[in-house]
Amino acid sequence: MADFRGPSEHDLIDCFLTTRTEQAFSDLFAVFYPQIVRYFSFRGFMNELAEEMAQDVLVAVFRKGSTIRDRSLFRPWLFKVAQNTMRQHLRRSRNDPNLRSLEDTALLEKVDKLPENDGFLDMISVLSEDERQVMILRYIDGLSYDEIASVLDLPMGTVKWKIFNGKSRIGAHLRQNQPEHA
Amino acid sequence: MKHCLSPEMWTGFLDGALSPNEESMAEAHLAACAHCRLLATEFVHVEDVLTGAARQAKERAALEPADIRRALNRFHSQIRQPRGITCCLEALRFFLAGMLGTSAGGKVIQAAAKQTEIDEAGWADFIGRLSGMIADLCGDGAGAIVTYIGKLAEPELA
Repeated sequence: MADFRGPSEHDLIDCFLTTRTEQAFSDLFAVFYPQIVRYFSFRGFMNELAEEMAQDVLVAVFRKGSTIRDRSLFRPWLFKVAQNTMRQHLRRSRNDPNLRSLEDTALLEKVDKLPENDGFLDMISVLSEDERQVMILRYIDGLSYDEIASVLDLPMGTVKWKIFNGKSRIGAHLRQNQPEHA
Repeated sequence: MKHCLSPEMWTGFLDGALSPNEESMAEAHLAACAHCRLLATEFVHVEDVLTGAARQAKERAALEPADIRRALNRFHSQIRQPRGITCCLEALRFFLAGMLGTSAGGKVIQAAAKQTEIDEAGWADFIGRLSGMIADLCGDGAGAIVTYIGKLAEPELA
């Protein structure tokens, strides 16, 4: 397998936006496919479906890539396409028992892909659904504040507030559960 | 939780993203406010714990290089499909999701595609096989709908 630690994400995005070739997108695919599979996995989609949806997202991004010119918009756009794909699947699959939606607040504890006692998901389980979404985008998907604001259509101040509030509540939760020292 | 700095100031301070002026204001406040000093220590701890837990979670969820390679091959064959096939496959997925559920519908499509590529040459075989499987599972009417949807791609293939 090729070593994907060569050029940076920025270089690969630049290369695709400049050349728009299939080869340039293949390099981009190798970097972003795992990220998009992870995006769906951490939102409660099982492995096969997460991989299928990630594939759909990247095909859509390849076909509509000509609409993006600014490199800084690429990642938020990619995650927005993933978000729209997720919503589309949720709308179609309301009654599908094989699909679990993040809209079910108990879901985070039942994600198959991740180990049962996953520290990160345990930690954010004390937060509201909105706050969890922002924390996952920040810590798992690695988006910056302005990228999160763009993906969720929220003002930057609201994103910062949700992260601040989330950290405060996690801090309080950790404090409460800290073993007492004699 | 009580806090004297605004959430935006806290976020900027902890990320090192404040302007020099804002930075000195925040530091001056922290020097004078024991509560905020404690809070700052707690935020740094939470950040460390969250970052560490997120890194572990990502490592556990990482894909094998072979999975990525397989996906890349699927991607190449998918983007070379004529648009008619892509649209028909999407319509079939939608139809089968309603009949069998998203996951089972996807699996039936995968099973029908096992012996042939979903491309121009293999399209008629694929639709014939899928139609037969759906007729067995859901009845002849559903099988006929699959055949009908499959035929929608044919003018483009001809």
